[in-house]
Amino acid sequence: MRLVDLRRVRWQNRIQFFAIAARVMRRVLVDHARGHTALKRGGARCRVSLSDQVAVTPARDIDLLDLDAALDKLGTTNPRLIDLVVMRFFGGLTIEETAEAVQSSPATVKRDWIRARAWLFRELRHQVAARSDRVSGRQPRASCSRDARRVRSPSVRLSGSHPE
Amino acid sequence: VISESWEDVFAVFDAAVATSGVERDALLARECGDDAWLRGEVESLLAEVWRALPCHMTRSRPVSNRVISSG
Repeated sequence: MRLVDLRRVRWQNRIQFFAIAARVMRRVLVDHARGHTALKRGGARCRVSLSDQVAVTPARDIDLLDLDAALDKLGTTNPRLIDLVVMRFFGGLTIEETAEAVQSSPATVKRDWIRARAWLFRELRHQVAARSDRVSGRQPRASCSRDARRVRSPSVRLSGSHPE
Repeated sequence: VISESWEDVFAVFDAAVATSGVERDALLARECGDDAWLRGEVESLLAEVWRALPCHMTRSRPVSNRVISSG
């Protein structure tokens, strides 16, 4: 099991402990899901819910391995959002606790959580569609990734919309 | 350059997520201009927020649904 060396960690406070524990939890659960999938060989994959603890919304069942892959991809485009998702999803930290852990404001964390969830849901939808296409032998669908962009237009910014 | 690009997307997304209907369309037209990639990215992200909302919390159907369904 790939755990951090607990003897070398100086806990600043309870929140920092849970933030690190969330990263460990991600590794443990993903490793378990991979082992489970390998045993099943084409059988059922582990499914979890990515629910929103901020607003009352219906939970969505998602594949844990798909989520892990989506998080890795998120890291290539928006690395700042990974820690937030891991803490919220795998660690169960609240908006306020996450804000304390990343030394940011609750408003910024809430904004980033909405961003991350929208991005992840879209990515997961693409993954499911791509898998379906592979199974049915269809051509892959057009990607919405940044790489698909041909022309980069001048930067567009909304003044005052970034409460950092 | 990459992060700037995504910051552009999320900057418009942040502003648009609190709007709907005509107000949202006007905002997207104003902020995205003729940048089809930027508008597509924002609209597809907004569509995910729309899907997560319970029916009684949605005020009007966003343009963004057309992007996902046509993809």
